[in-house]
Parts: sequence; structure tokens; C-alpha cells
Amino acid sequence: MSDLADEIVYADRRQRDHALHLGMWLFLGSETLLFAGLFGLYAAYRSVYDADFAAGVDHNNATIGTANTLILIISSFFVAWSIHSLRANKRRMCIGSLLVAMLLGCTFLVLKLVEYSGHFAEGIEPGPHYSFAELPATGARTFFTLYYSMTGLHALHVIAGITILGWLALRVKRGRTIPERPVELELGGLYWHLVDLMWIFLWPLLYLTG
Amino acid sequence: MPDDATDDLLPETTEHPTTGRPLVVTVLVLIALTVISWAISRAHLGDLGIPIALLIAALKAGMVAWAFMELPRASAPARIMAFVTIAFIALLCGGMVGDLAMR
Repeated sequence: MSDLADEIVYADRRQRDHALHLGMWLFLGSETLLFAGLFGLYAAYRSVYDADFAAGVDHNNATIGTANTLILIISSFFVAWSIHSLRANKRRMCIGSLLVAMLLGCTFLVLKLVEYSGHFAEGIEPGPHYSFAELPATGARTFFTLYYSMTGLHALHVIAGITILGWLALRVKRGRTIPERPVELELGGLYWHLVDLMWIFLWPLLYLTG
Repeated sequence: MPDDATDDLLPETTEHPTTGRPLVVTVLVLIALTVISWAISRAHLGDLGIPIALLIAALKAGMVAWAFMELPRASAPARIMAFVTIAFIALLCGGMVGDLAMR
């Protein structure tokens, strides 16, 4: 929106930033409800096929899942640190923090691909393509279909988040997002933290509760 | 054009902490809680496993929202939005499980 349009709609910059933040929180709320449908399905099917779901959880690689949890938590810290750094007028530290967070996000995706390829090699594929002889029951098939849906949707958010962080790093480098008004960085940071929040709940449901 | 009444909805302050120490403490506690959650899962607590894991996850999510997402400094409508979202998820999951449990 142009500066002139901003002046017409908003009384001052504080009010504009407030509106942008509120819009972002509304978006995060709708994103969360998108995942909520899958969490609801998980809860319902788990109550029906508890033993099969537990067997599926036990079969997942908890080491990779736990490593990815730590990776996302630390990346979330670096995103928060980038905002803190920009507010303190430390642009290089801000950009460096964003790059570390992006690198951690990429590491998360690589580990996820390693995990997927291991599953595919065993015949653990989503829906009708499932052919894992060790866990043939309908409940296990349902668990792994939900596993792919939840982690796949989450991975798409990670990819979007990494793209946003890269765009923000460029904006800070070019002086378009500045210490006096870091609102774009704050909004992008909120998105990345949501990605972290989702994984915080996915991790125990898919890797720990066997 | 906005009027003064909308100021009531704005955050009371735009001041931010000058030290990064709370962020460092938060990430260390989050890492510790992750390790605790993993260790508890190895203990195989049976039916208690899921509630305990989700309780720790909720605690971690609260810390991320509080320290990293700066929820306490968000405006009142944003805070309401966050709480309503959580309530809707609890309602959805609780309703689905409750329905199946009572059939």
C-alpha cells in the first residue's frame, strides 16, 4: 500500500502496524484451524485404532523426529534473535540469524526426506499404495496416511517459511526493513514460529506416544 | 478515518526488551523440555503417555507464544484471536473423541 493510502486509512504508523499484526494473527488462526482438522481426525482414529496407531508410532524413527524438533526450536530462537538484533540496530547479526534459521529449516527437510525414503523402501506409502507387511492392519494404514498428510502439510509450511525468511534477509540487507520499523520481520517471524508450534504437537503424536 | 476509540485496542506499549537473555533462557528451557518429553516416552507410561506428552507440548507452545511470538505485547484482539483458535481446536478434537467414546 502506498504512503498516501496509508495516511488516508490509518491515523499513524503505530495503528498501521497494529492492523498488520492483527491481520497476521487472523491468518495464523486460519492456518491453525487447517491443521486442526487433521488433529481431529488423528484423535478420532486413535480412539478407534489405538493399538495400531501405537505400533505405527513405535515404527517411526524417534531419533529423526526428536532431532527435527530440536532443529525447529533452535531455528525459532534464531528468528526471534534476528528481530531482537534488528531492533538493536545490528543488521549483520539479524541477517546472520535469518540465514542460520533457513539452514536449520533446510536440514529439517533433508531429514524428513531421509525418513520418507526409508518408509517408501518398506512399502509404507499413503492410502491405497500401502504395502507394509509388518503392520498390515487398517489402523496402521490409516495412521501412516495421516502421518503423510500431517507431515506433508507441515513440510509445505516449512518450505514457505524458508522462502519468507530468505525474502526478509534480502529486505534487511537492502535496507528496506529497518530497525525503526521492523514490522515485516516481525510478521515473517510469527509465521515461522507457527511452523514450530505445529511440529511441537506433531512430534509427540507421531513419534513418542507408542 | 480512525478515531481515538480504536486506541483502546492497540497494545499498551511498543517497548521491547533491550536484552536477549529471555530468548536464550526460553530456548534452553524448550530444549530441556524436549529431552524430558523424549525421556518420559521411553518409560512407557501406558495410558498416561499421551496426556503427559501433550501437556509438555502445550507448555512448550505457550513458551514459544509468550517469548518468541511476543503474545503478551500483542493487542487485545490478537490475544483473543489466539485463545479462540485454541478453544476451537480443543472443541473439535474433544467433540470427535467424545462422540466416538459414547457410541
